[in-house]
Amino acid sequence: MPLTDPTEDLALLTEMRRGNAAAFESLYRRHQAPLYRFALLRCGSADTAADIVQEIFMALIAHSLKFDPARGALQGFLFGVARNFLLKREEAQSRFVHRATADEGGDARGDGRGDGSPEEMLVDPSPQPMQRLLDQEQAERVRCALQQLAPHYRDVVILYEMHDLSYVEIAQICDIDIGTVRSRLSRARARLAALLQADSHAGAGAVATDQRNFPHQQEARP
Amino acid sequence: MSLPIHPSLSRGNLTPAQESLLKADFGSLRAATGSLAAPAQLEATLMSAFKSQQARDGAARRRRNLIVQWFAPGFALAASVGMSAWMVLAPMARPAFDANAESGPRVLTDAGMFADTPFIALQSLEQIALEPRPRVIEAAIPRMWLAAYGVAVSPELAGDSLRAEMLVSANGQPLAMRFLP
Repeated sequence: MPLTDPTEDLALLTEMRRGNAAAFESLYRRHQAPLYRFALLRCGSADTAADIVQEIFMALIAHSLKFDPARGALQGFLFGVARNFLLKREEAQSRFVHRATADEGGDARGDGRGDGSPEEMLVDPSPQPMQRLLDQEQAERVRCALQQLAPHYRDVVILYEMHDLSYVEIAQICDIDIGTVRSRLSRARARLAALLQADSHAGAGAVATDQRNFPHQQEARP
Repeated sequence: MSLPIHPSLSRGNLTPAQESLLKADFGSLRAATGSLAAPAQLEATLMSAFKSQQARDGAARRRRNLIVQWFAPGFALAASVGMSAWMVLAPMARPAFDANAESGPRVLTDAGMFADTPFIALQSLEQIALEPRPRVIEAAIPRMWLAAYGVAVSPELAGDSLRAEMLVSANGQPLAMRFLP
């Protein structure tokens, strides 16, 4: 279920391409927040999320994006662009990490992917250092749990749970078939449920985790 | 945090308790992130970039228009001159009548005669060529006479006569004929 009306989006895009600044402004205001939230939950960094939004709209301005209305709504297309930009960044980052690891003579495998078992693949092999992004404790806990999923599982969960997109739309955005969306979503939700359940049962353990994950937060507390 | 996953969970079968836990947790995440948006200054940056891009696009458009404006009339003039010269210097050759050309059988009807119609041979070409003093005479011939030479004649007009030029031999034998309007 698209959050914005595809017909209006298309009309605004057409006007924007004719040079109408107000149409561009409208398009930006309609789409920036969902794209920012998607990128934020996907990468866990507010700065990167802002950069991704900027890159998307700069590409739109420079006519370097080839949007085909026959293939879906603009919103889904922009989510797909955001995902591609995020993947490019992650790829560049992982190259850098792998090279640094090799230079330091660390992990003999060097791929950071473990044994490649399905459970192992559910977990992000190179999790980013977590910064606290949300004030609300429960929400932050869910965000941290999301961050522990592998990126391709994180994509489908965020788009499905946070943006109310259908399987078909998610399949188009992630360039996978609907069956894969279903299985990834199912496995990712199961993993999340396990993480969150364990976290809520741990109680004091969660506080300890919090202290490990957010040392700067502890310093700020009285 | 790395947790062992129960086999039922790896298949994605959630218990009702887990479903409600996920629902509540995602509800809180939605509430917490619902008001998040890109930094406010980003809009100003992008609007400025949009205006710069429009200025660049406009300049490119103006350059294209200028080229079209200045060069298109020249191209049009050159094309017109070229076409005129070609029409004058290389006129279309009119197809000449060739008695030996292999063409399909021509069926003449009595309604379509005109003056430059070629002669129709009534005798063999050898006989016509051997005739020492052929002459052309103008005659009025009954349409009915054409039927003898295989020309279709409508019954209503069978009694009319036609003007024709006849190539006849010295002793008056018809060798060839053509119709006059």
